[in-house]
This record gives sequence, C-alpha cells and structure tokens, in this order.
Amino acid sequence: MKRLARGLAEGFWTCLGCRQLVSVAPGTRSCLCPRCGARMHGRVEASLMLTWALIITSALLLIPANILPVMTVIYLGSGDPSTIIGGALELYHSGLWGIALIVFVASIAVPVMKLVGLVMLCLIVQLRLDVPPRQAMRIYRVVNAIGRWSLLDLFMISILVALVDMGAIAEVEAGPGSTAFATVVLVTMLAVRAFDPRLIWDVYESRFTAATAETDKNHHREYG
Amino acid sequence: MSEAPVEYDAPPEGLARRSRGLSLVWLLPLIAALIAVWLLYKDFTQGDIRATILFSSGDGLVKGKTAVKYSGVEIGVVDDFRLVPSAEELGGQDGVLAEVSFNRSAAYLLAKGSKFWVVRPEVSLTGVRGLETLVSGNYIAVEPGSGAPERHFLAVPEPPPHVRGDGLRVILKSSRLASLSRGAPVYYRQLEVGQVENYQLAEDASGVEIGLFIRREYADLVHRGSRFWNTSGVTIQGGISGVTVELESLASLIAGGVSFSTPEAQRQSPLAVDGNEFKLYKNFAEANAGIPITLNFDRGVSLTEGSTEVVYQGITVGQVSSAKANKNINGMEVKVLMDPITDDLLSENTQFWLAPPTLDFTSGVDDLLKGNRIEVDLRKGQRSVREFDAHSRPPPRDPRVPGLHLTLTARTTGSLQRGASVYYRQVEVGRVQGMALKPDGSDVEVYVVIDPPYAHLVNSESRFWNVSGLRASASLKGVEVETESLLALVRGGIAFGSGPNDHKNAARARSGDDFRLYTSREDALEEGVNIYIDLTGDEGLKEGSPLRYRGIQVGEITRMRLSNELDGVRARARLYRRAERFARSGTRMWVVGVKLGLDGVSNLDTLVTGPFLELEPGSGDQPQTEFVALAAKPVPDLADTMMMPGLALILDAPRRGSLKRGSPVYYRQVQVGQVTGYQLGELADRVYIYVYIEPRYRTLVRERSKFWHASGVDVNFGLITGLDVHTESTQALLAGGIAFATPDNPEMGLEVESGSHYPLYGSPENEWLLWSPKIELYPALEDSFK
Repeated sequence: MKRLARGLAEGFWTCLGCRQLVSVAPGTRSCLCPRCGARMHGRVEASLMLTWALIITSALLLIPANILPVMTVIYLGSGDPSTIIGGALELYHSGLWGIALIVFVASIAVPVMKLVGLVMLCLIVQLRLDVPPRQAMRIYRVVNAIGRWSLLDLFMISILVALVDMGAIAEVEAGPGSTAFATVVLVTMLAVRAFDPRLIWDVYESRFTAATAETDKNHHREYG
Repeated sequence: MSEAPVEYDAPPEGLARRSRGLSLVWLLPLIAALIAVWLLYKDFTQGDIRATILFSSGDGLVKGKTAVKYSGVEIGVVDDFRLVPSAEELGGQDGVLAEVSFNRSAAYLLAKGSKFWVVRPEVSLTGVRGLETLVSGNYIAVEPGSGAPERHFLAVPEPPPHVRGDGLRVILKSSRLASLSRGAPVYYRQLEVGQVENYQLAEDASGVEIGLFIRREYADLVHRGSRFWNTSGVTIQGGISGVTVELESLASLIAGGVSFSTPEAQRQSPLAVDGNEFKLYKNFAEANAGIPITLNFDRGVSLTEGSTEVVYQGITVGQVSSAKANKNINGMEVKVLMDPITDDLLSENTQFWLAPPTLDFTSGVDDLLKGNRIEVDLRKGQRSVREFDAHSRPPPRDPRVPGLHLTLTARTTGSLQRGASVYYRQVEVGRVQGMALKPDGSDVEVYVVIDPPYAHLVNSESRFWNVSGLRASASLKGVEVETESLLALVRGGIAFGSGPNDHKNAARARSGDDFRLYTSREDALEEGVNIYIDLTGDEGLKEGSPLRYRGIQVGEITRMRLSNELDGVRARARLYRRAERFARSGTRMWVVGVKLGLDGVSNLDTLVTGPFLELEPGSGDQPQTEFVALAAKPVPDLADTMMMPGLALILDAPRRGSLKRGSPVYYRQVQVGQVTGYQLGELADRVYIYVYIEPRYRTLVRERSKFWHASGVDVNFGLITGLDVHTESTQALLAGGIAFATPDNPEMGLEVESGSHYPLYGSPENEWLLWSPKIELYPALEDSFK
C-alpha cells in the first residue's frame, strides 16, 4: 500500500477554524493560528476521553428516557402516560405500523445505533483494533449524519402539545422522559463532535509503521 | 509566474501545560448516573405492587387497559389474565385471575377484607350509574378492608354498598320486597337521604331483609322509634270530592322507595346505630297509625279493609287494616291501626261502635259512598287496653261532644234520624246525637247537642219542635205545603225558637235540661191550654177543626175520642196563646155550621172547611177545662140580657105571633133593639117576650111607652082613601118585629130599669104614631152583645 504524506509527521498542523496549514516546532502542545487566532492542536485535545464521557452520559440518560413517560395523551379526562417504546407499541397495535416504524427508528434505533457506533470508534482507537480505517470512517460518517434525526420524536411531541389542546376532550402533555431523551440526543451529538476521526488514521499509521518496522527487522534478520 | 515562497515566522512555542488530573467532562456521566440510579431506586422502592384478583368472569376486562380505581382515582391497571380452572374459591367453577399492578401509594388498600368488583355501566330505573365506564371501559372498584396486607383477592360479584363513605346502615324487615330495588331512594320529607343497598331473604325465609344506607349527614334523623314505610307506587284515593293521587317521586313510582319519619312521641328515643332493625310498613297510614288494636263485633259488619276510618268526634284517628270472621263465626274480628296520639286514651273506658252513614246532601253522599265508619269515644282510664268489644250501633248520647246537651221528650220521633240537624231560624246549630226509649216505653228521649257558639240561644222558655217531613194544610185560600229544608225532609230535623212565654230574663239553658219536643211549630209556639169538650158527635167536627171567637181562630181540636160511656164524643182542643182566658168557668161554645133560613144564609164557608166551634168567653174567674159544646148558639136568657148595658124589657103578649129571637124592635121604623127570646109565662096565660134595647136608645123607652106588633102588613082599604098598605119593614113583614112609641114630653114618664114589663099590643093606635117627643140619646156604647 502506498503511504500518503502526513502533515503531522512533517511538522504541520491544520487550524480547525480556517483550515490553515501551520508549521510547528516539534514538541509543541498547542499554539495560536497566525491567521485566525484560534487555538491549535496537532490532534483534538483529549478527544477520546471526552467522547467516552459523553457516551457514558448519554447511555445512562437512556434509562430515564425510556422509563419515564415521554408524553401523556389525555383523552376525555383519562390519560395514559406512555413511554417511547410504549408509544411505538401502541401505534403498532393500532395498526399504524408505518408511523410506529418511524417512531421506532427515530427514537430508539438511531440513538442506540449512534451510541454503538461511537463506542465502536472509541474502541478501535483505544484498543488499536485491526479494522480497516475506511470502514471506521464510514461508521463515523453515518453516526455523524443520523444524529440530528433523533430529534424527530421531540419535534412531534412539541407539535402535538401545541396543537392538541381541546380542554377536557383531548390534551397532550410532555413528560419528563422527553427531557431526558432530548438530553440523550444532545449529548450523543456532542460526543460525535468531540471524536476526532484523525485518530483513526493515527492508529492506522502507527500500526503501519510498527508493521514496516517489523518487516525491516525481519529483513535485517534475514539479510542483515 | 513564480513567487518567492512566503516565509512564515515560526509561532512562538506555547508553554507546556501540566495535566490537570481528571477532566471536568466526567461530571456529566456522574450526573447522568445519579439520575439513573435515583430513578432505578425509586422504581424499586415505589414501583408497582403486584396483586391478583380472582374473578368469576372476565367480562368487560381488557388487558393493560382495565384500571383499578379507588375514589375515582386510578390506582392500578390489569396487566394480564390467567384462566384458573376449577377455582376452589369459586366453588369449583372456572375463574379468571387478573394480575394487577398497583401504585405503591395504594398499598394500604391491599389488606385483608378489601373487596374488589367490576363496575359496569348500569342503567336502571332510578338512574344511570357508572356512565363514565361507557367511555373509559369497565373498571375495577375497590373498597378497602382493614387487616393484614394481602396480595390475593377474590372479587365480589356485586358491589358492596356502592356508596362509598360513611353513613348509617339499618335493616328493614318486611314480609315482601314490595317492588323495591337496589338503589331505590330513601326519603325523609321527600328529600332523598339514602338508598336501598341490598336485600336478601331472611335466614328462615320468613321475610325479606332490606339493607338501607342513610348518608352520614342525615343519619341523626333516624331514631330507634322511627317508622319506615314503603312509598312505592301510587296511592289513589277517590271519593265524591275528587281523586287524590299521592306519590313520593317519579323514581319511587317505578323503582320503589322507602320513606321514614319519626313520630312526635319518639323524637326523644335514642339514635339508631348500624345494624338496627326496623319494620317496613306497607304504607304511610300504617306506619303512622301504629297502634294495632282488635275490635270484636258480635255480628257481621260491613267494613272495608284499608278504607274504613275510625273517627273520634269527626277526626280520623285510625283505619281498619283487616276485618274477618272470628273463630266461632259468630262475629267479626276487626284489626284497626290507631293513631299513636291515642295511645294513652285506649283504656277500659274507651268505647267503639259502628256508625252507619247518615244521609246528608252536603257531605253525606261521600259518606254514603264510603260506607260505614267506626266511631270511638276515647277516654282515659286505669290501664291500657288493646282489645275491645265494639257495639254494632252507636250509643244514643255522647256527653263528651262539646256543646249544650239537651234531652227532648216526645211521644214519637217521626222521621228523625241520628245525626239530624237542629235548626234555629233555619240555620243548623246542632245535631241529634241519638234517641232512646224511656225504660217504661212511654216516651222517646231525643238527645240533642247544640254547638257551643249557639248554646246561648236556648233558654228555659225555648220550644223545640219536629220539622221532619212535610206539613200541608188546605183551606179555601189554597193548599200550603211547608218544609224546613230538603234535608230535614229526608233526615228529619228539629227546630227551636222562643216560646210563647219568652221574656228577656229567661234563664239560660244548661246541659242536661229537659224539654218537650212538639210535633209542629204551631204546637210548640201556640201551645196554650188543653181543654176537653163533650160533643154529641154529629156536628161534623173533626180533629183540626178550629175554635173561633169573632172569626179569629183561637184554638183547634187536637183529638177526638169516644167517651167512656159511648154516649158521645170527647174532644181535646188546644187553645192558642193569649186565648187561655177562654178556659174559665162560664165560657160557652157551640157548633157553627151552615145555616139556611128565610132571613139569609150564614157560614157558607163551613160547607168547605167544615163546621167549627164558636166560643163565648165566660166571665167567671175559675179555671175550667171541661166543657160541653152546645148544639147551637145559646139563646141569651133574661139573666143574660139583664147584665148587659142596654135595656132589657119584658113584653107581655097573648101570643108569640111571628116573633122570634132576633126580631127587630123599631122606633119610628129605626131598629133600636131586638127580641132576645120568649117564653111562656109562669101560669101559661101569656107569652113573655124579651126585648133588648141597645144602650144608646134606652132613653127612648119611658114609663108610658107603648109596644105593638109590627109584623105583617097593615092594609087599609077605603073607597075614598084607596088602598093603603103599611108595613114596618120588609124584614118585619117576614120575620115579624115590634115597634114602640113614647108619648110627648110631659106625659112620657121617667126612664125605666131593665126588667120592666109592658103589654104588647096587636096594633098601634093612630095617636101613638103621631107622638114625637124630643129625647136626648146616649152616646153610642160598645156593645158586647152581638
């Protein structure tokens, strides 16, 4: 495989604010971008730790988000508070499996997929797993793309709360679960943002160098 | 074009920063963990409690939907069902076990004794209940028990007292359910204060036990002495006066209902407590007239169960509840419910009797329709009695009725009835209470009560008379029919008024006074003296023939009977008021009938009315009641005429001629007197003619006056004088008469006394006819003799 030139190795950093290449002296931890004045690092600082922390936070917040009722549809004075999964099931039992699917995907599958993807990326970086970097990047891109669609459920709830207000006949109330769920979505998006995909390549590079060094050693052992 | 590469200054190297240990970002997972842990903890400690309820049927229960509600709040939901074949608790029947998750807050409801049941929409006659379940579906209701915590329950098939909350629960015992249903209202003064909760057959199946629930705020209305009665259906009472329809409420009409009230006497009884038992009465009357008594009649009586009333002085105090023959079938045993107020008046002195309806046009038709009623005379006594021997006829008198009580004695009562009115000036002022024969059977006593406001109208001089029936009298003037009132015609009646001797200071009558009851008003008011007259019997007199004096009726014959010796008729006559002075010695009476004679016809009206008795008052002062009637008007004898103020003379005549009583005596052809009689002289050698000269003319008769016969016609016939017919008068021509003349003043002599004798000449001398003395006449005097 042909190796590509790497800025970090050549002593160049990219400013994440204005994408200016800046040459830095080796050993420098951080500096200011001479063009836009943003703080610069060679790699995002403590990216992996931040991602882990946010992943754990959102995973924990998934518990209340799924236990506490997301919304209560009060119909003729008697309401039945429903959780996210309860609502989806209810829709499915009522025969609205299309909407049920959308709710299920947006509210349950997507956050879980995001978390799973992030955990996978973090593990790849942390444990230097032998995963083709392009696949890892694909995971990253998907996780980054689908994050915002989890808010669909919250939009629906807020629209319902605003629209369905008929006094004693029918009313929709948002429950504490929706707050938790919104926090989960927010935190996962922050986690995705905190993850620095260049780390994947760093792992790859380091593995590659290690591998070439190994071959060189073997080469030396054979021919040296 | 190539430019020289830009030379960048190498940025100044930043200072290496020391690691700050753990990053602040780990606060976020910490907070999230805390939230999750807290939620999990809450869910674990305050999560749902699982319990099972065994139902005999899962009808209307929906998995995950059917809620358990308490006090209207959802406290749990049915999670799942399981079939339980041959459940022991259900007696071997299959059941449905519902798994319910309860809120932890409802843990205290899950105790031993809690009851669960399914609430379904229930549409009944008293209303719609559980309407909310139409929308929300059936739900399971719970009534908390109080015991150890329990997790497995057996549902009850019927709601326990579904009115939650506290109140009073009492039991009514009744022989029949009488169209009551669960939820039927309980009324107090037509206000709904509770309802019928349940009912069941009594243990021994002898009756029904009805459980009532009275709401707490009304619980203190129920005393131990309260009475409950059934207000189901409609009570329709009809009479002439109209129909009254009583009904507690429309709901109770359909679904039945119970009312209760506390009699005045029971207001002080202790309040009822849960579980007290009461009797359920059939109706208000029964509940109210709560004293059952038994009346024994010694014969069959016509009574209507439930409508015949017991009346005390016009006030209804009871009602017949049953009437049936007694054991020996020789009488009736009547059960009566008496008003509680009579409680202490039902003693050994109390009397009951059957009162037939009295005919009365004002209210009585209603009474007639109602039939008999029982009347009671309530009296206090020594002991309380509940069984009485009732009389089948009313007692003749009841001294307890307010008013003036009088006893009237009569020989017969005519058509008088018990209850007949007593009238004063045709206003009803009293009533006849009853009648009874005197013990010796001689008379009837009529007991009369005058109402208190009118009692002062009766005084010791009042007269009572019977106004029953009709009185008709006929005379030449026509026929008169008289009746007091239509009512008196049918039912009889008594009237009273002031008697003949009434005067201002007559004493007020007091209760117990005796009066006579006269047969008619005339009897009563005209009663004077009874006199007895002996008649021959052929005069044509009859009962009712009048006694007259100068054409005025002063009495009448009231009775005629044969005398004891059968030789005549003895009549009893009554002299009216102010005619009592005829009952004296010297009074004479004679029969006046039609008289036809040459000199005229008299008393023609007696042809129609019959003869009457003419009276002539006597001058004696001895009272006398026995008289003998003369056949004709008595001839006044000399003794009579001597007493008169005029002049009585005696004329001595050889013959009577055509003279008779009433023949005129003329002076100058003017009648101045009349012949009052004649008789033979003592030696029968002459006839004494008694002449009476009216007092005014007595001075015309002098010592030398001459009397002569003026009868007949004096006819002188001469050739030269011609025919000269001379007569004193036409009457004298027929009936004869006497004329007299008095000489001129010097020779006339003195006035004479009564009893003087004069000769009666056959004819006058011419000289006598020429006398013309001047004599002053007396002023006219009232002549009592005519």
